[in-house]
Amino acid sequence: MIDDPYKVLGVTPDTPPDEIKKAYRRLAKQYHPDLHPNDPECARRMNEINAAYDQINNPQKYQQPGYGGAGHSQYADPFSGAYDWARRAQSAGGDAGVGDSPELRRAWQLLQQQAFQQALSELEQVEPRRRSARWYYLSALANSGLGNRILALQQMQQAVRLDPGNLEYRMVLQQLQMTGGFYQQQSANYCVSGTMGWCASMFVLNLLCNSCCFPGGYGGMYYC
Amino acid sequence: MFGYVVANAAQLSPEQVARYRQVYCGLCRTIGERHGALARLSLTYDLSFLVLLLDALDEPELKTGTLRCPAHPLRRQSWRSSRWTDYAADMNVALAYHKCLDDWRDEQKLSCLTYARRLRGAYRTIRQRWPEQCRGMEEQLERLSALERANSADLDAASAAFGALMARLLTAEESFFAPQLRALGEALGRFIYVMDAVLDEEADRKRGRWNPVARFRERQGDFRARETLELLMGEATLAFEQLPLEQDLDLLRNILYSGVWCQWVERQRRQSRKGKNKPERSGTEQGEGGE
Repeated sequence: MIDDPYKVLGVTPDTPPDEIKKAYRRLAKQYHPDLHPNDPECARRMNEINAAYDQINNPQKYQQPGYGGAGHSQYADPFSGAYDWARRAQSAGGDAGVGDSPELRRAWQLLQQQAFQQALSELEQVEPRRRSARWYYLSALANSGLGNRILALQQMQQAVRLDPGNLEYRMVLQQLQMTGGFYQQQSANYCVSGTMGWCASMFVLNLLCNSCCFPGGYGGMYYC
Repeated sequence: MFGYVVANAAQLSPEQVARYRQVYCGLCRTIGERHGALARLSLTYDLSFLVLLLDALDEPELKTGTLRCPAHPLRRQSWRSSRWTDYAADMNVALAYHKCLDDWRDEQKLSCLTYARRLRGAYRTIRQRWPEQCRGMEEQLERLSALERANSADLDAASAAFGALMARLLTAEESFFAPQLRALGEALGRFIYVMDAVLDEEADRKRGRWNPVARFRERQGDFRARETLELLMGEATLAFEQLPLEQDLDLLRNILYSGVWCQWVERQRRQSRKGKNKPERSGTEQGEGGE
């Protein structure tokens, strides 16, 4: 870990992200190995520049081994196995629910151990008509851990729908929706004039070369 | 599965349009040079994005020039190419080859089989040059076929297969930023796959063809297309913004933040013209978290 990654790139913590990218590029142009082959000092500097840039973008990666910073780092990926759902849910007051059936209790324990596939197998044993909000909640967590983001999102929404007063479920849903929400905002920032339909855009770009508007087709004889 | 990763002209200045077209023309020219004029028909816009991305990350030497193009006879076209144009040209033809085979299998279109046969020689050459990428295509497309045979409702598995394919395409070299490129490829691949399935849902249903979004909807009772697609692009752009890019950053952002929605917008407009407008509920409209 570098003591002051900002100094390496010649920036400060207040520098906007796009300026940090430019600073990286300025330095890369100076020290790129293609420009100085067989120069170990340049190679060392390039490694340092890369490491500094990475550290600025991913501070949690460099803080401690097995980061469990669930919730406060926007880069912690809720759909990776490393995201500590069990600990996060516990710290928010979630635990083995009172009145949980044996399957749900076992599934909860497996989630604690990050054994997501086994937790799902346990949950599958519950018949569809007996699946409660809590079942959907636990399934969503298990699927999240396995990277099944589409199903996880769907199931968490179902959990909230079945138990709208449950704050824990709402908080977790918000977490899953955070990335999409952030994207919506960024989209609005970059696309003030709105989005054209595909045909219109291609027309303006004057890129319709081979064939134009087959129904649903877009250029090239095999796009039929 | 192609034609999604394109630019949104509404946001581009004439200078930006010219730059985007330069890359596109360069790609077309390179495909023609490497694989013959017939291969040019397989040109996709999505691979122009790949060129822009890898050129921006690597900042390699660029060649430029002008040429006369039969599709645009009035004016000489300006082109630009780099070593990544060469790579994208190969990937373009390889993907086109597989798509043709797929279309032949699904729809028995003779034109597709004929075209695939013509591309076979080129594909063999490309496979020798880029075994990882081509093996990746073959494996993931086989995975998708297996899911289709099983009439699977596992939209995550299906989209992940295409995601893995894209991730392999984006990481031709093990550079320092390969993890971010991989993450971008996986997310973008998932997005493309789901978007394609969403837009094909009705047509597939009518023709009795497997559609993983339709199957997901049947199994789970609901599917919020817009919210899912925004999540996937969110993951893609989170990875993208970690890359130290400067060159053509404006074009890349245009594509990722609005261009990828062009076909979606097109569909919505067509549906509202036909009077079938069913507005998709987004998370914010729901009021259920995620404001």
